[in-house]
Amino acid sequence: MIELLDYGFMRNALVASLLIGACAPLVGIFLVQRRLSLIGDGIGHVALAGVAVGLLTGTSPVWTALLTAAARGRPGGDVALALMFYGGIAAGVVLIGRSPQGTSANLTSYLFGSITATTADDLIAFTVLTVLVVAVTVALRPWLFAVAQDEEYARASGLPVLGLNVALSVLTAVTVVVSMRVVGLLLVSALMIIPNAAAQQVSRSFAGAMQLAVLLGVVASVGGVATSFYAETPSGGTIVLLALALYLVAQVGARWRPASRHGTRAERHTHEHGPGCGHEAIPHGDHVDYLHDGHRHAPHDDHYDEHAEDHRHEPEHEHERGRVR
Amino acid sequence: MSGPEIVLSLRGAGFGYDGEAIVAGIDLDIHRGEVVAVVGPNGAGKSTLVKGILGLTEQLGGEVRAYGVALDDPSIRGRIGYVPQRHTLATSVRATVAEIVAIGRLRFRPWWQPWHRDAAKDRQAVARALDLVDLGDRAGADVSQLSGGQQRRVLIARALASQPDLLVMDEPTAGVDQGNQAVLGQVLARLASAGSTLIIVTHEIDALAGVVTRVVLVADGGIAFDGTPQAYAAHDPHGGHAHHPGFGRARSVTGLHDATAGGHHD
Repeated sequence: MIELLDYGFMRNALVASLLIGACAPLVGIFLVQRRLSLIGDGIGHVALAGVAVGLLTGTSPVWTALLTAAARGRPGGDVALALMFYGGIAAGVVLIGRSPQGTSANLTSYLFGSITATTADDLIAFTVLTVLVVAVTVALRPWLFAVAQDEEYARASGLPVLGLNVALSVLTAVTVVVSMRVVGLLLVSALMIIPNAAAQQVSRSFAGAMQLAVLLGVVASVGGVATSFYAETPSGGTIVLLALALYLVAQVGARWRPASRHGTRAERHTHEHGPGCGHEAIPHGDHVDYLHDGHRHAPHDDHYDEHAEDHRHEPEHEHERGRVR
Repeated sequence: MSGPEIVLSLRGAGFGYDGEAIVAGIDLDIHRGEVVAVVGPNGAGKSTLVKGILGLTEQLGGEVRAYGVALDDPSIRGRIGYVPQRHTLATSVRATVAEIVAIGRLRFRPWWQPWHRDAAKDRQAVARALDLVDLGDRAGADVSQLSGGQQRRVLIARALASQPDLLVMDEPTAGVDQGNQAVLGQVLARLASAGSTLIIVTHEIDALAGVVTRVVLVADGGIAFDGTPQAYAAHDPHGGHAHHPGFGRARSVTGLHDATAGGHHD
């Protein structure tokens, strides 16, 4: 098992994967919250143009990629983004083809990640950048959360909304670039999103979901790199498949959790539901539910059971609890 | 005028979007402790007006001062609490009730100061705000699991946690069933009796009877009526059929209002 630590490139790759495994989901949760789950993918496309410029001019591709990814600016309209993203990846492919190191192996390693690609120099840059991203994200977490939760309210309460939006853009760009060596530009976004998707299945709070996502990200990232060493598979794809497996486990786990809505106690009432109480009555098997804010309340002894959201026309009711005798 | 302090003062104020005014020439003084219902037909500019007070719509002319400070001064922003018209708090990620309400506390915390000095104080304020809206036992609940009426109360708690001097609510009772409307009415009455200054945009003034001390009718981009609830009832006793020579334009749109609010008064 420790055999993989004998190789310098593997040590680099493992450290890099540890860093990005923590960093990517941490930034990604705010993208999920804003329904921008695919934005990281687009930034990855644009960053390829930066990589190409770096290869052509002989500067480090990391820094040129960072520059183009960050310069992408604020998300514009749907079509504008598409033009920019496709322009970026097309320019990247063409320019890399023209550059002296423009082998297809090189291109593939940028697109899909490669454990042998992380050099010691890269690692220093990655470590500095990742520590910065993690520190800034953790520090700004309450504000980033507030703006993503309700931007209008954030503006009304005088929070620096524009600055926070720019901050999130830059954090995303940096995350994409530090992840590109290990996961690859085409799969970067997956590591930002999938651990969060998994954590959302089991967690109830934002803070809890964020911590769990980071844990899952690290497991998928480090585990994926180690697996790719033994299985001789490309690291990016291996990491993402492992993350997806964790997602499936989380989803199955969430199903097994008790306390679905049925049988939970409904909110406190200011009145008894009954004929003429003002709530729409819906016959439900052997009793009557009352429509309450789009979900249903069934009288049950001294309280009300929640009978799911308003599925007024669901044909079958197999539940037995919550009856009025 | 002597009497309670003027909290908010508008002089010839206009608000709108993209340089186009939706309301204009608004003169309005709100005093401490007043509970003002802003009523009017859909599209008359109620929301534009109150969002203007919150700095969310463009100010186009005139003067707006809160506590004597011009509205574009950032120091004033946090002092005006806001309960937006929203039907859900759920986003695509999980969040607990307490996490949402804690957003109201951020105005006391400079963003360049990431360490949390007043964590205990914030927790207390969040708990107090939740108690005020009868959600003290749901602090740890996932907001997406709450009913619509409960989510409205979470929005109110978020604004209360910011300890505002003036609270602006946009349709807090709209789309809420009668049971929850009664709870919301109690919450508002509790705030009013505690001396809060409230501006409430509403279609359902009946639900707030006894709480409201003043009614402002917005119609045709201006204020068409401003007075006590009793005077408003006499001016427009639900039907809007009475003839008021001075309110010719307003009457035409209050007709619309009755159509949109239809059924509530029958």
